[in-house]
Amino acid sequence: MRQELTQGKPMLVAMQPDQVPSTQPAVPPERPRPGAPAGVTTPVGRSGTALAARLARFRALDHRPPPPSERPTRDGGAAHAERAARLAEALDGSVEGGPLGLVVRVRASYPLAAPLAQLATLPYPVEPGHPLICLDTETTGLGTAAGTLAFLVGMGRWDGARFDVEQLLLPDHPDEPALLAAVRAAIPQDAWLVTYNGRGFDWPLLVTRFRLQGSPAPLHAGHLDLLPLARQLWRHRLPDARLATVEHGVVGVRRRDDLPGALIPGRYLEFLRTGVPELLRAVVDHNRQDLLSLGLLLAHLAQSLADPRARAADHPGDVAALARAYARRRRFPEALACCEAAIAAADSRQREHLAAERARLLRLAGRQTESVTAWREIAAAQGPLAAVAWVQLAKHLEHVQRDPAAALEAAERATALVERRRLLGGELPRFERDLARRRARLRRRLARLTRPASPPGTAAGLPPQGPPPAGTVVQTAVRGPPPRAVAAPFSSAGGELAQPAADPREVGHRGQPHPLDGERRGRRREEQCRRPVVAGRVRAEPGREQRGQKHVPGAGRVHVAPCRHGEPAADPDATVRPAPQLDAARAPGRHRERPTGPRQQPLHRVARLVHRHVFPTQHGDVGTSLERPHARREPPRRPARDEGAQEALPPQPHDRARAGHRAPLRPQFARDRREEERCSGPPGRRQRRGGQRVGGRVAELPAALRRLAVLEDRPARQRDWHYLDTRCSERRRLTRRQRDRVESDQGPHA
Amino acid sequence: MRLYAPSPVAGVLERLLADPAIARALVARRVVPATEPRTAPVPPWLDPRITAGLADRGIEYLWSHQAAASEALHRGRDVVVATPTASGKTLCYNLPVLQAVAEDPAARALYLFPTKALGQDQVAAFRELAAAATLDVACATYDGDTPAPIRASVRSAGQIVVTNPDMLHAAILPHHTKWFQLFEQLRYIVIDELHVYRGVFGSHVANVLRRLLRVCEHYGSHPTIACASATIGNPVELARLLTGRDPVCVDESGAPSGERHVLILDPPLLDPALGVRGSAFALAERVALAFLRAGHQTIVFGRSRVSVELLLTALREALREGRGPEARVRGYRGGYLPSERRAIERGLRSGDLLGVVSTNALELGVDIGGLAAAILVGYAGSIAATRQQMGRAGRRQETSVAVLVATPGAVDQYVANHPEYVLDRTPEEARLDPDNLHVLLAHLRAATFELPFRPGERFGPAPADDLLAFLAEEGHVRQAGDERWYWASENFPASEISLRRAADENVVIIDVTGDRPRVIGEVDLFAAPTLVHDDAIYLHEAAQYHVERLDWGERKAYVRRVDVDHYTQADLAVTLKPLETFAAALAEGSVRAHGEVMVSSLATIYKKLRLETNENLGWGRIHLPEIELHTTAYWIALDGTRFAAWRRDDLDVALVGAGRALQAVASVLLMSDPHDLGMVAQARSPHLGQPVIYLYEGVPGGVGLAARLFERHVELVGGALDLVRHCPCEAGCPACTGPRLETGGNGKQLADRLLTVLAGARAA
Repeated sequence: MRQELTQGKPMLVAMQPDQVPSTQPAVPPERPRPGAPAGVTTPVGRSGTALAARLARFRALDHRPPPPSERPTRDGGAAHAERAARLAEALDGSVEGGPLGLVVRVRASYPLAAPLAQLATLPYPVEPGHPLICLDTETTGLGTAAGTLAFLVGMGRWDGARFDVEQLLLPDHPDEPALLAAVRAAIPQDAWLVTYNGRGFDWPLLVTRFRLQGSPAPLHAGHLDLLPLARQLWRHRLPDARLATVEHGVVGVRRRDDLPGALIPGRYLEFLRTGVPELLRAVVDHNRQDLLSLGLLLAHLAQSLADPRARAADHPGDVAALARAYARRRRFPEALACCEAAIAAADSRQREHLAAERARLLRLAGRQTESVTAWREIAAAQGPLAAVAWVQLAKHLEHVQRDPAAALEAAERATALVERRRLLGGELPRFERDLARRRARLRRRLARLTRPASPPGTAAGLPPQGPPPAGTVVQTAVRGPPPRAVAAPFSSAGGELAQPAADPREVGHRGQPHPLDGERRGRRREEQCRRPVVAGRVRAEPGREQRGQKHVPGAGRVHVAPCRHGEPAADPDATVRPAPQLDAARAPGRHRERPTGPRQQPLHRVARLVHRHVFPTQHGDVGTSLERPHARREPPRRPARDEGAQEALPPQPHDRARAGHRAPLRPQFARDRREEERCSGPPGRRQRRGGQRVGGRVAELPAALRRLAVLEDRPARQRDWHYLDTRCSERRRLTRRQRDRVESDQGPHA
Repeated sequence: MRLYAPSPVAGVLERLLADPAIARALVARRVVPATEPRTAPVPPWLDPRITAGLADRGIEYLWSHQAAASEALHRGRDVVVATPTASGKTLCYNLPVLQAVAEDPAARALYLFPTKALGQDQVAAFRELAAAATLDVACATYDGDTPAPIRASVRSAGQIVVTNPDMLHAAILPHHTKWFQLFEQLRYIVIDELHVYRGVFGSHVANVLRRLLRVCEHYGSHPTIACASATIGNPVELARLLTGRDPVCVDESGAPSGERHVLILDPPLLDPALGVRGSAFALAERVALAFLRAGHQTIVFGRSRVSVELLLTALREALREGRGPEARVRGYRGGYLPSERRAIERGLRSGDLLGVVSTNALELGVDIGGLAAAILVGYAGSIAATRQQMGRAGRRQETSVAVLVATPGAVDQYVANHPEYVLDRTPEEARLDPDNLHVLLAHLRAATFELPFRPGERFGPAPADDLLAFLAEEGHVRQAGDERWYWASENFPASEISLRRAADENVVIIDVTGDRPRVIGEVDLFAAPTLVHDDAIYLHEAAQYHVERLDWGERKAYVRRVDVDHYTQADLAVTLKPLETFAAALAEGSVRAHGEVMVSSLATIYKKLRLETNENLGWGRIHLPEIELHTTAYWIALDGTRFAAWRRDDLDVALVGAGRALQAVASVLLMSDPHDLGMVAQARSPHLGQPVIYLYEGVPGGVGLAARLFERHVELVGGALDLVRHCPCEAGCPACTGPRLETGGNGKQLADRLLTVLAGARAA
């Protein structure tokens, strides 16, 4: 017989063909269901027999054995007390009884001297003056939802030179109030808790348990979670940050016959079912060892890392990590001290990395000159990071010393090193790309600087770059051929270098062919509209902040002027305008970097730009950045000292715009403007800066994050060390923003 | 943009009806007369600030149902409000809630909406009301979109928390200790769109609410429950089943409404032999264009996302309209961004948007104001949903038009032939079975996880001890020395339950022809053994794919593009075993019954058939596990003696044809998805020894559909006979007994004969 089945979309029980369940035969006669009013679905389970029958069929379906003929007898109190007593006996503990129930207490004490007061010097929040209580719980599951039970609460505290461990164990479910009361009694109000992942797990779980019993959790003064700390300090030399790994790697604890944490819930549930106390012995040992490790780690921190003299004996990587932790809290003197201690202890390879770290810290601490010296030393040592050092020097020379020629020379040296490295099989694709762009830009800049044969500025006897500030050794050390000579082809390495325009006067003048013509120029314009323009306006004197400028490590002070969508793309003249002349005329030794051709922004800069566009008001005013004059809609505020220079110039179209007149608009501009106004309302200054572009930049956040993530996923040796410094903080910042904006469901297990 | 020629709605309607294409398709037309408003004064207990806020927004008096419902809620009575679309249900519960918060800032309320979008909508509405009343009320959504930093503050400080049942089930209840501020002070629980909670989803939600009330009890609160529902047959019963309380019913709307014309159109038959009809899309487009061109706001409901996009494209092309935000006809469906949806809703309210093409996403209580015309392409699956969608057309004063265009499906054709079903009948009753054993046990686990059970404590209708003892056998639950039942497992039970069936298992079809594997489709698990077994030829978008491997464990089928001249057809052996009969009764020519059954289906062999000629080219075995479903069913056991004279083949065909018709009518009667019911016809049942037609529920344990069918047997058989008889096709079509090719013989005539016997009617 062919049987038919029409569409059905059921939730299914899939079974193997040979497992057809044995089912009871159908009961054909009608059996009206008791008490079911007409029209209402008769619920299951109203009559005991029906329920029993249905449960029996359920059993058959699941291939379960029939239920035990009778439930195990419970004789309440006596068996319960006996279970607790057996547990206490097996674990060498004591049973404490009370009106709330029973709790088994296990004590132990270990000699463990630790100069805890030293902890105060660490860049972590902890007050060693208060009693420190190491806390660790064992639970019946992960997550802090209502059904997870903390059946073992271990606490360790110092008593002079001894470390006392006290473990509270729950003999049965109903005794929980007694356990919690004992925990409350053990935590004084001024105590600092010390845990491992306790912020996310142990403590919230205890709070849940207290709440279920209808009372708030005990108060305490503070909470130091060692997990993030361990990640910072020791992760660099450990495969993971589990407590077992860290205690082994840092304080040399080797556990024997340790019960894996994943088995613990099962052990306790088994104990509840069977009442065999031996099941819990390993659990209690595991917990005690956890507490002891917490104590040991704290003692290690106090004895060595927190002590500037003892630090020297530590792993240099730990000390360097500590330096970073200090730096994060902006405690640069301590950070530098740690860094120097690490350098003293490190081997040659590490030393170079640490020296680079130190150079970075010096710059962060505002000690520019020393920083440059440090980079110079690294470069001179010709180690693996020499290329990085040359790039750093190039940045300094370009943006602070304002010597593009020397900067180019430094970049060339970096290139030579990188190329040699590539021949040996070590590639730094990102770094190389960035370097190539840097060199290209420097060459363009040099070309621009040398181009005007007799611009008004130079005619007035002003050199194209500022006089070298005093005390910069670097400049002489790495200076290449003098800038004037740049027009002549370079003879050094790097074939691309032989390309600078032979006669700069031919290039870039009105009516003359522009080097970036044709398709490439179009692309460039398009690029300018898509990405923000970076305009570097760098002051000659280092070390002084100017209002509206931001110090960007390695890039001097940078202004970011967002490019307006849709507007500037259509002005071909804009790229031809001899802006350098103006710049040179206006401010001696100062020039503006013009938007360069299509290229990818360095990662940290992208991240920063994103930030600027998200918080436009936090960053400098528009007037000091370089925008295309045609793109302006209202006169920007300009520093007063520029006024004179401007007046001396013949009127230019964009200057009319600056003076408050509108530049004549081309038809397409007018259309664009109309459209923009329709979309975003009347243009206001604020809106132009924030306005619709904010949306566009925010949309790039995930992309920027992805790039960061990709970079970070690469194996360490492939990473460009160059970016390490900025990456972490940027990532954190971006992630935070991302989290605030995008859904992040912590889910039931969180 | 096109030029529109403005013209009143009545004029457009007149012109439409004069159009021969429309006139030919018209099967029914009704005029629902306008109703007068009935008002009541603003209740005196209301805080003066709220009264002033209402006055600010132009509300000087309430409609009568609003006053009645808020009065009862204020007095602490549970209420269910069941009034038509856009009658101002929201105010019924918002007023007492706002009053409670105004009296005591510590008071809390929990709002449950079936979807996130609705919740967000309501938060905005509530905030507006609170702002008008110059009250500072913390009202926030707590759903998957809530950012983590905000969650903590919603937990501790949210006075009005708006969420959905899924979130309540998986994130709030298991973590109730983090919500103690809410649960301790919970005054009101608001359950809007009550009619959505039916079937399996409703059974789950009923149990979630049981857990919610249990947690409230733990924290010492006894919230009042306000339910709001669209017009359904049994709002009180539904509310009672869902909440376990006995609510007051408010179902007489005091809001006025203008005259409404309701039309039902059925595209004319093009080929009577095969039952091919004209396109419902084209017809709907024609009607919609008439209204759009006259400048009237129009909503078109499609049944699927694809149909929405098709209709939208067609309308825009006809109006020569561009895409983009400036377009005056927009689409609206799941998959659009929330901000986009909000913009569309705003556009509809303000009148900037002229038309919208939507899935049933706009059927629920999203506030888009009243539109001039609503056009439904296809029956919405239930009378209630159809009326809800038609209710989108309706303005306080003016005339509006609602049009239902039937598609060629069986259910639609039934409705087209019986327009009184949609127009006159009371809407269906929503069914759910909160005590479905599968559902109940799953939620009992979650409830034990949340709070231990006292001995004798009830969960649902009865003390839970027997069920807990059953769970204890699995080891997830244990009874401790104090007789209480505790959760004793590492598992997180809430994560094992999905409230909606959307998460059902399916088999993904992966094309490995190209360089990179590509997912081309999916089939549900039940259909997989027949469609994508090893070596099957799977047809997808008119291309043939050979199934290289079906990974049953991973639920993946790997296929490769081929070009062959045959296809495969699998034989599915479906056996249905009755396990227990709940009730049976004699009926005309048969015995009707319902009870528990075990359905097992096993794909056995497949045949290779030549494409044009259906010539058998060979066969192979299928090695796949049997699929079993333990559920409830309703069946008709035919009186063997009355059919003894029938040829066996004829009986087979007749049973299948009649079964199909019964299935179609059953889904109309029960307001259920056609997929919720499966059908098996046995010419000689191994268990009963008679010809039997089974209609079984597609959900383990069933949700009570079978019992309802048992009760409405006469209606069902009569309806099926009607459907078959009035179908204009010649020998069976997809709209009645199934396509002719499949059943062979004259399925229609045989099914007619069989159903005639069952209905006790005279032969046609």
